[in-house]
Amino acid sequence: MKGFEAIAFYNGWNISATGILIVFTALCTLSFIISQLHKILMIIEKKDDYIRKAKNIVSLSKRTGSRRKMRASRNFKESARQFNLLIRSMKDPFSLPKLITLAKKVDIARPYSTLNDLLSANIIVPDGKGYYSWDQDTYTNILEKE
Amino acid sequence: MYLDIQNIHEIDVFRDLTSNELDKILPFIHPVKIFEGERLVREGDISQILYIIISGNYLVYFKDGRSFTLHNKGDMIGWSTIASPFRYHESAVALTDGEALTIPIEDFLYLMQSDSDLGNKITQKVTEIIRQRKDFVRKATTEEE
Repeated sequence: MKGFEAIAFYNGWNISATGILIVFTALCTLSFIISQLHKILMIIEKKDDYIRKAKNIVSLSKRTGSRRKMRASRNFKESARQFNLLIRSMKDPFSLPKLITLAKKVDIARPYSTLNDLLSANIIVPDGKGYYSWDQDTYTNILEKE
Repeated sequence: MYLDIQNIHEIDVFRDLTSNELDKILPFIHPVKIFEGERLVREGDISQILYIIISGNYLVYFKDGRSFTLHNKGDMIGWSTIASPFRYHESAVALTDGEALTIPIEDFLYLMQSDSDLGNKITQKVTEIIRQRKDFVRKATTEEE
């Protein structure tokens, strides 16, 4: 038995096809990896940025969730109450960066955006010299409306 | 955010620039997303980036506890980027998520030095900002000394 007959008898065609398939698949995989290599290198170069952004997103989603939609009502009221308690422990007029530091220490949820809401609602008002005061009347009015 | 001459021209600091000058400045401007609680600049650090607000609310504050908020499109943070001694006079943190344009100092100074008309126009705008914030800056600078 010789030639093609021998090849067929010993499964030569199948083995060849399998070999070709394996080599072709490996080459395709290798070329794909090489084509995407620049993206991997870019990720490695910017890993600090990605980690920071990911942390921001995770911490925001942990703290917000569905609460964000409710902020205008119950959450805002609660946050305003917590901020009011903190501000009572400070001298008047008070410093906003110090207020934020305190709010973070006592673990108030989303201190930055809450402060922004209080400023927007004119519950915390500037004195024109860089310090701020708590407007009790506005605070009471907003609570009564809700 | 997509940047072109038209939407750059709408920003106050670039309003007086010609189309040719805007063409020159456009490659140096990079839009960035800013997250709530993100610190943009820290008082005393070497100034490297100038921020121009597109959206969001920001708290600018000083070591002595004074502060003010910025929320208008075109407001600038880190203007000391282009003024000696090239250190931030203020700290700034984002109160909400937002967007800003950033200009790296090296590119910015190169641009201003290579085109004196453009440099003058931008310096005038920055001088306006310094004038508006002079009470805060004066006190902060005096305390540093």
